[in-house]
Amino acid sequence: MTEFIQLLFNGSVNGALFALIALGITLIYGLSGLVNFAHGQTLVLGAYVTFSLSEAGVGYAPALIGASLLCGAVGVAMEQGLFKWTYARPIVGFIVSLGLIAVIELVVVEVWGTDTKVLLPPLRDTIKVGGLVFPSQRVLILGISLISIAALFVFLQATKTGRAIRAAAEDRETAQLLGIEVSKLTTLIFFLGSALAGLAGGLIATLGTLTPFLGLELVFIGFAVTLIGGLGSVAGAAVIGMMLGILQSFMGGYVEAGWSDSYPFLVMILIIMIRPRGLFRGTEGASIH
Amino acid sequence: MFASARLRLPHLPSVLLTFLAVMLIVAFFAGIGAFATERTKSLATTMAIFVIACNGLAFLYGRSGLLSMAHAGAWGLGAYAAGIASEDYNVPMLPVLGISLMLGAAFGLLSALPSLRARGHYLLIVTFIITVLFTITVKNLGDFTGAHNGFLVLERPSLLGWRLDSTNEFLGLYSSLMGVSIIAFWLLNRTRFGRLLVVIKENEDLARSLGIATMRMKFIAFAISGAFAGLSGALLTFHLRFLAPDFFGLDAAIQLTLIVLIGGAMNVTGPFFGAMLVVFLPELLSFSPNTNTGVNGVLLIAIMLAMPFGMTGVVGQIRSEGRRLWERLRGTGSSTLSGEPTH
Repeated sequence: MTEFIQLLFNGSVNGALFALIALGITLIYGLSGLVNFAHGQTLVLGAYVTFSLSEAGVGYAPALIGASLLCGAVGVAMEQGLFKWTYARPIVGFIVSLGLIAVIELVVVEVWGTDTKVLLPPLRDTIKVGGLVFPSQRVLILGISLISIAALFVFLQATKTGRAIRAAAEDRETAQLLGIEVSKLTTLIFFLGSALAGLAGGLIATLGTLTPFLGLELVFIGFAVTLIGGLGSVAGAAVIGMMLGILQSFMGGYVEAGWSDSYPFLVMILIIMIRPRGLFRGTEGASIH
Repeated sequence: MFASARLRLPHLPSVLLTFLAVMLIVAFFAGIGAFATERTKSLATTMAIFVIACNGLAFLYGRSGLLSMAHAGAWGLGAYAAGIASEDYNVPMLPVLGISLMLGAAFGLLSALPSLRARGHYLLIVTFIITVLFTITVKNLGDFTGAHNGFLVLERPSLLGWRLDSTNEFLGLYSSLMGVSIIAFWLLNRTRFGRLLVVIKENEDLARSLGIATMRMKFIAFAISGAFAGLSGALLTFHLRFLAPDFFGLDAAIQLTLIVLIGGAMNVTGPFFGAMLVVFLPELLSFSPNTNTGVNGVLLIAIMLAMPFGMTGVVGQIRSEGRRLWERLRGTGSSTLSGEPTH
């Protein structure tokens, strides 16, 4: 039982981070039809900026906020400078995002170098309950992630802008006819999605060593989550993110650790074969030729 | 509308262009074999390997509109199969090439399965994941594949008694095979099958309603595409003599796609020019490896925004622009909507 709860906790922390990554992907896809492969590199950028700001003596919380805002700005720059021109042909947007992977990686390597960096977690004590050990930093990560996800939901459900975003994701043309400025919302969503990636990066930075190349693997877990949930589905990304994190943790703990990277992906292929648009009502994948 | 048939620019330029391209390819390899340094010869050999793999991908994407990121997995399977067969079981080179080709085709078939259901971005990402699963599998198979440590191939290949020792011999064999693969790609495009695939790309529902077995055709197209990758993988093994799982992961999938899209999938020489740029440009610029990757990224973005149909697509773009201009001058009005190549 102790092991069960421990694995559940560890899985939830990873799952909340997966959900943060996947939410950014699915929000951006929902409004722009773009699958942004450079999302993982935005996350890496967020991790390094958090690292540098913390090193410079700013506290962890301001560093995290700074990194999120900066990544949001980078997202806006990518949309305005590049992706805006590719919406007519999604394949071009996809390829441009592949190119951006290399470009952002280069920037990170040039600024921070290729040697691994370690950001010491701001909280280093543990919370012991019975035989269970919860590192405070992980509790903090879980808390921040869940609060951010909840805030995002409130924003999308209860504010006027949030409703406009959902309307535009549902039907771009009609929303435009009704006077919603979809192109402005798309820019806003690039800011939000990329800021979430920056936040996830800043949180992940405290869990292990940092390398410029950790983005690609994480973004694919984000994709697995997004596809299972349904591209464009916000609830899908949040719920499936948590579930995959927990599944991976249990499979790694009870079955076989060496293969644990593959479980989310196997689940994804299986589900796509049964429900090609994911479990939650996702949008039809755009034609890519 | 009616005028456009009469006004179509003659096909002679495109015949001449193809002839010119073929001459250029032959001259390129002959020149390198005769004059270049060992390093350049080795790079040209690598380039030939890329071209063979990318011909398969370009066939699949250019004809059927399906972009498979699982191609890198088929490439890796061909490579590992060749390594294991020749090193552990002493199979001679010719049967090894056959085995890798067949396994590549089988991998292609396997990666076609999700296309039964998934479309668009879903399919794209699923095929990416198939490549990821391939590398995870290789990493978990212990001594059989060498796992993280990689797989060393000490055996020198010999083809029907001809031992490949020098870089020139490798370059000669590989560039010839590359030529064969370009011809195969050209022929495939012109078969009834190749032409029917385009119908699927344009309108799958219509094709199905006309009684075309679209699903079966997609599977065959994936298998053919995988066969190119498998063969190319085997050639890579004999050239590199060392394999590691990460050679065939996400980066390889992206690399192969880059070559096809930079070169252009609609023309049989597209993969050749794409591979030439991707293999030789970093060498010419000679930055550090990381800077190279970054420069490749910038280049890719620039090319895709300026020439969405790749380098070889520019010919078609110019031609249709020219026709549009001609029609405007004549006042006949244009019926072409985009710069899409018309062949």
